[in-house]
Amino acid sequence: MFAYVLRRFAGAVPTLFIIVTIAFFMIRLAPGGPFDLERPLDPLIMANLERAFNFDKPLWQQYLIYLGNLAQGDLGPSFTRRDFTVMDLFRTGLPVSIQIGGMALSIALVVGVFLGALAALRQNTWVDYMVVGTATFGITIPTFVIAPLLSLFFGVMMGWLPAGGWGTWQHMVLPIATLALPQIAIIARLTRGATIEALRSNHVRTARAYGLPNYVVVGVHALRAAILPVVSYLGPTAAALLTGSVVVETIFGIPGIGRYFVQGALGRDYTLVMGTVVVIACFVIVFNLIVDILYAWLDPRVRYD
Amino acid sequence: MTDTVLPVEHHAAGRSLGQDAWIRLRRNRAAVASAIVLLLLALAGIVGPWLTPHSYDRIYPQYVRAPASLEAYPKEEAILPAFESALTRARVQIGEVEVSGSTVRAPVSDGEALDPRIVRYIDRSDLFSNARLEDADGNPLAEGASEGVMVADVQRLRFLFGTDANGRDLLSRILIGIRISLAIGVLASAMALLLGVTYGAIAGYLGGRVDNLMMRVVDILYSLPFIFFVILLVVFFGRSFVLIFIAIGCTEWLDMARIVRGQTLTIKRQEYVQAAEALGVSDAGIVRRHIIPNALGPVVVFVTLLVPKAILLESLLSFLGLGVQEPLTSLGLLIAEGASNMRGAAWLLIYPAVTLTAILFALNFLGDGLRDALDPKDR
Repeated sequence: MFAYVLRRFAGAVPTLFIIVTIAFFMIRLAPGGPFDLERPLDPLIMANLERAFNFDKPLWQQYLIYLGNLAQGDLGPSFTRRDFTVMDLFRTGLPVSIQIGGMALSIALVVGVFLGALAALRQNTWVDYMVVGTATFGITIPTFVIAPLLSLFFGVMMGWLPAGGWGTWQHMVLPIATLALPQIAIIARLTRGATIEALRSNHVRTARAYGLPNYVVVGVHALRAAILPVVSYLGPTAAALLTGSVVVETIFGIPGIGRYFVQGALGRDYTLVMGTVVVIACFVIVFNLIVDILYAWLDPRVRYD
Repeated sequence: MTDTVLPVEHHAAGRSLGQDAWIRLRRNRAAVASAIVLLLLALAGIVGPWLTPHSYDRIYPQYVRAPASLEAYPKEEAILPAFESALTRARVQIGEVEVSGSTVRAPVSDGEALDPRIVRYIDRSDLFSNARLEDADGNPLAEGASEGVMVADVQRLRFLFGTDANGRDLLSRILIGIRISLAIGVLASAMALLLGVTYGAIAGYLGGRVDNLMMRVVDILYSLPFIFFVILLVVFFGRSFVLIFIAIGCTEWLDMARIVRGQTLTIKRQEYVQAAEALGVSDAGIVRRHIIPNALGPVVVFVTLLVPKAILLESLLSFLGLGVQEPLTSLGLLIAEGASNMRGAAWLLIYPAVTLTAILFALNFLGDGLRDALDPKDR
């Protein structure tokens, strides 16, 4: 087990390396630079700036310098937000995104699995139709429609919750709801399908034949099998949720890290873009690992090899 | 979605796969309703912009954020002050302004001869048109007179969905937004279809090492977050309508390639293909009679699900300010504008949001209906 985790982390290094390399050269290929302003800078100042940030060196040398710094955990200074290093930005922004994303994830998991299992147990009744209908709704409507509508209704019209901003727990309700709703829908659908299949499977029939009480059959034997597709769905989703959503953070004005990639790419803030890519890649790698471990734990037929 | 398995009666005449699917699709009420809604929306997007009285980029400075209303603008109480303020700008003395029906008249006088060019101050307003100077009897004012009557027609304008923060008609903008969104959805999907089917079919047909290599490339591209990829493409090549659908098509063909490859691989080894081979059917015949029709089902279903995905992606890009550029608009851009104007102008958010939701719902239901109709497992 421990050896397996170690091996997986060792395997992640080349993946990370390839991602960093592609991202580095792609963003550098884009025309323009971080110091392009409406009014061109004095050539002398430009030259000094370029020297200070190593832009005067050949690209491959800059790439090696970046890799060297990255290996030491240094993501470099931000070009668009002066006075901040990229690490500073993540240190303040990441906890905010993790807080919102983590809450949304937990709520989506609990509510989604519950609704999905309920619908499966009451298949083809009104409960089932309600859940499936709502799930279709939740999957179809995109976040950037839900978010402003929630903000409009609860924030502006009703005045129950702040329409945007950050600070108190009230500010977190709408963003979490926005993030959780589509995930609840998807998880409920996945759970429903898998539970229906699991209820028909041999091991559940055997459990029933043993005379186990219904809640044990469903709660232990059926759900354990039914949760597998949810777990594998959750890997990339958890990474995406925890690293912030650009739409939700823009609409609700949340100081998370979701906006950094778009802002960084537009402002040619090379280090910020690279930092975001590295952070997201790390999250994806870690969560895929967690998913694989959970998988083996849930399904004893899966072995780590 | 709706897992209603419909019993298919078997007639002696026999039906082709396509006819079977068509009959099943027509029995699915949600899919038929969605198809009708989609047709209407597409029609609105194609013809609508020519039928509306307002151009989507025409700015009415006097009607900024006018609420949605069935009644024509201007409202009665707004006519008088608007006429007075327009005349004040002309720097003439004004008498009593009277409104009768759709004409406004006010006696005007000046210390010297009235300059006929002052009618422009009235015409310039969005509320009035056809301004003219008359004498007391209603004849055109004689040259050099210093007193007369300013007459103007009230311009009745309808803004059924209201106007936006720049004073543009929201209905016209939504119609043009539908056109752009649907066009990008269809073009991007067509692009993904072309790329994906070609790539997947080649990989699946050749098999072996070539297949391995080609699919490895897909895997690598797949692991790049697609929105990042689109953003980099847009950042790299600039923003234009053509680029947006190419960028979306370039990111969405991966799934298609996988599906087509998988289909080709399985169909190649099916018993009925082997049977056809044993009967001596030519390769071209097998491909035409067996492989293409059987691979088509999942592809068609996937395309219908790809269109809403592409529309969503375009809307997201526009929402982030990376999509189509003003004054052209798309539903995503309208929603973004609506979101920033929702305090006091909720209609700016609600109408585009409802339109986009309707399109997405219709496409999804139609896609589900098609899947039910074409999925061989349901038979």
